[in-house]
Amino acid sequence: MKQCSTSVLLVIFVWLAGMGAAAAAPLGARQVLANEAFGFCHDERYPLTVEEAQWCPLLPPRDPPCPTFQAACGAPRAAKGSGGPQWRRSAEEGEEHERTRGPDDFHRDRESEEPNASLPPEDAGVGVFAHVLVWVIVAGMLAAVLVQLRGPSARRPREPSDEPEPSESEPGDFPAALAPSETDVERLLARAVTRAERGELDAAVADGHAALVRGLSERGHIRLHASRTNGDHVRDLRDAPTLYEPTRQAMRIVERVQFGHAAITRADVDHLIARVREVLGTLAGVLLLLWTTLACTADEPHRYPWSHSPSGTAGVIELLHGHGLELEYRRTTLDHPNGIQGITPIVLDGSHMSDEEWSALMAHVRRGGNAVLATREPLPLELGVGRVTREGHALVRWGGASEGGRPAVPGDAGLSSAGPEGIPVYVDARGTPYALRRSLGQGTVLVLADDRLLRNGALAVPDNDVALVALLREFGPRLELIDGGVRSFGLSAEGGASDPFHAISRAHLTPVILQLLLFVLLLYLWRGVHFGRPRDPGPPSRRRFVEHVDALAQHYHRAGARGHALRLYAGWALERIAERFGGRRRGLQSLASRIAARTGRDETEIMRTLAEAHHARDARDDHDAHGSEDDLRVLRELGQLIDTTRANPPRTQGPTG
Amino acid sequence: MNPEAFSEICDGIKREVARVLVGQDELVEQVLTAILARGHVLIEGVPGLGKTLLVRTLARVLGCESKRIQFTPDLMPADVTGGNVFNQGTRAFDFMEGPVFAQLLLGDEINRAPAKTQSALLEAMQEHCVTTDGVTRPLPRPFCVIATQNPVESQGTYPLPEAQLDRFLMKVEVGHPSREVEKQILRNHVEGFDAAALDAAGLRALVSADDVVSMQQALHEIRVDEGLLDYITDIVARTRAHRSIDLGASPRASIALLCGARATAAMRGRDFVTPDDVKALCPAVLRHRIILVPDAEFEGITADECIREILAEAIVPKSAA
Repeated sequence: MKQCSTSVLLVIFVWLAGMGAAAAAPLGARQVLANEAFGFCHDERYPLTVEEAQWCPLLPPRDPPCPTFQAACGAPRAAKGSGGPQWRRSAEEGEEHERTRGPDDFHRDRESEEPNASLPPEDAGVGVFAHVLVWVIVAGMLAAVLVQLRGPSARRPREPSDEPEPSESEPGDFPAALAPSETDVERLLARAVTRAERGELDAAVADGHAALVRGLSERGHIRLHASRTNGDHVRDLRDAPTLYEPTRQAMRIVERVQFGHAAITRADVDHLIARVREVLGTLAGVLLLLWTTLACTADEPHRYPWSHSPSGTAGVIELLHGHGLELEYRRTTLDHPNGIQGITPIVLDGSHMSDEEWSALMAHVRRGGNAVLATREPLPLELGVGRVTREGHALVRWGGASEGGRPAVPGDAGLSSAGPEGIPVYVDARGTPYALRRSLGQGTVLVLADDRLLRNGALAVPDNDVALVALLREFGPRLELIDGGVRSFGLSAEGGASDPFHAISRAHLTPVILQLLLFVLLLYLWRGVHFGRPRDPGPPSRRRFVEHVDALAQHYHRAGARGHALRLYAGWALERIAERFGGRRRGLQSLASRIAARTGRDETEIMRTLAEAHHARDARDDHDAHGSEDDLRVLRELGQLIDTTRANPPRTQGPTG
Repeated sequence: MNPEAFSEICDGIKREVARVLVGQDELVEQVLTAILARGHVLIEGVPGLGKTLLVRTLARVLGCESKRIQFTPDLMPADVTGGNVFNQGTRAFDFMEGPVFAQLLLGDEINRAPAKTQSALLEAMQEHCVTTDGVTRPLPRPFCVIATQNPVESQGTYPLPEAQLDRFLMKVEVGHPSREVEKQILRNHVEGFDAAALDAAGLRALVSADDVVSMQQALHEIRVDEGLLDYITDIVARTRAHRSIDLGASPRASIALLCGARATAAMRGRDFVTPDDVKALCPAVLRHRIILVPDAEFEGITADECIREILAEAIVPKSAA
């Protein structure tokens, strides 16, 4: 407890000391680039693009803020078109520059053949989580496989040597006391091994048997019930050939012990346990398959986030944050109703702003707002700023001021001002401006010859970070980057992914989701339909009454229950006929004469039918239910009588048997 | 007899029969089980499924004598058992053996004969002997009656009484063959097979009648665990308590299950009976020995469904569940 308290105090002290140090020295490029996500500063074989390689001559030979950038300059270049976002590749294809950069959701493939040359970036978000998850799963599976290979016997110490030596057990009944009460498969198998070593062969077989059927049941291969035989279980496995044969062999040994009278030997028990392990070992096979699959995904080439490349802006954003400036990407167009009041837009290369946006931006400046134009695209004429070529990479503060140090930017892009309104800020050796500021209306515009000073690569050159902060400090505290990558992906108006798949891709969740889907698939293959939660069967659809009657008649027909059917129908038919003719008390003769008078049929035939129906109705219950062919005839004639004595006789016939 | 040898012989018999009788493996196995268990078989199926061919083929492969009786309404008991005929030469009555004096007897459409004739078979089936005019004559060994009845036609038939049904060790229901099997039957006929000329098919006797008797006697050596006796009695007792069964199985059914299970175990190469042997035989052994209540019949419940319910409830001895 004392040690713990000491440790906590030590941590607090270090944290406070760090805070103090941070407060004493503002964040510089060296601290920003210390993050290993900036692969070009930590990986000597980082593939630079041709554009990024232009920083190489400017890198300091001693104590560079970006240690491996110089070495990366000698490494193979990134394949043309493979680096950077698709929007940039398609937009600039064929142009002389291969400038490739984009927002945070782009990665750059590393061409190196060394998979472990560097660590994965720490802030790769879910990607890091996926890597950690993969290795945790791999470690767990490896342990599981090792346990499977070693077997449970290795985990249990041998019993004392005073136990009787294993020998052939005597034939006899399967002892009820040895019936396994344990339900855990692993423990049952371990107990089987232990008992086999003790010489308790019958009990070992019982445990092995229990482990086998419980293991198969838990995986849904068999249905375990007291009424099911070993043969039932084996037949359940006909669709699983890898399980069928070893299970059948194991069951033969078990049954020989349970019901046979041959002596069981230690070899038989070992054979049984081997078969059980073979069956249950398929679990390890499934895990191995999962392991292999995940391992394959883990062996992908190392990838770095594009935003942390020399062409990205993540380092610049972090640097400016460290100096109290809020810098983020603009998600809407400049002419969006949300407006740009209180914000200083920074227009980068490739922003491809429309005329309406330029107008909105100029209006914003004239109203007293600020703007930074770091783009090589044509500028509004009202600014009076033109393009010229400058000499050399080194820049100096115009007027000889020492603030901002001596930055350096590759390339030859320079600026010219048509009038005295443009005030140079940084110039080359000949005085050609690289950056100039101009008042417009009530606001101010800072124009840079290009946006290289706003890229991560610039931080690798000494004094660039200081110059950048000095340039932008007066335009704070809220700055917004106008970037072509964000705009070209349809985020300018909506601010979100266009579809769920895009959202998953942006969040780097694709590998995790694919692995989860694979895991679910393997679980399904392993457990089958039992993997899902059983549901109640749906309610049966209601049948029409006539279907019930028809089904009942079919049952009668199949059962040959003519006599039974006639007895029931005769009772019903006589009641109906008597009701229709009001002759319940008049007797059959009176009914027959009335029916004959109405229908014109032969009275004798009607009387015979009624008499037979009466006789059938009053027959005893134990009368022959099967009846005879005459019963069918009486049924038909009664049906005809019912039909013909209706008020509106239908065309259809009565019962036909 | 060695269980493995027993099993090999039975497998050989089944293979030999299957050369002629295509697609009826289950029927052949059940009939062979009944023969080895010293029982009789009632086969229910429509005509033309090879029942006669089965008996003739089995008789040939088993080295037994077979005879066939076509039961008709005017068939008399003496037409089955035989009778005394006056011999003018010796001026004495000689006994002329009827077709029942065979080792494998096929009784075709047994339910077409009146009860009097059917009962003539009772003593033969149960006692394996025939008594005429006070003289009892033993039947040849082995003796097995394989009777058939048509489930479709019911007019002009005399349903077998329960007492006689109980004499049959098992009742086997035969259905139509599958398309593939039927095509194979046709293919055999195209290749020249003639059911009337089994000699041409090259069938050979794998065993003799004495061997069959020896195999029957060898079944007494098959061990039956005490738990299995409980299992059998439990199943049979449940037939008497089932809600859909009016009349349950008799103790003769228990014996039939025991004998049949022993034969099954031996045919599978074991010298002990397992619960699976008993369970597999239950439908064939019990379905004709139980009578359903009328309500169950009207509801369409069959004897096989009742037996399935019973088997799903009966506790198997030494189960791991």
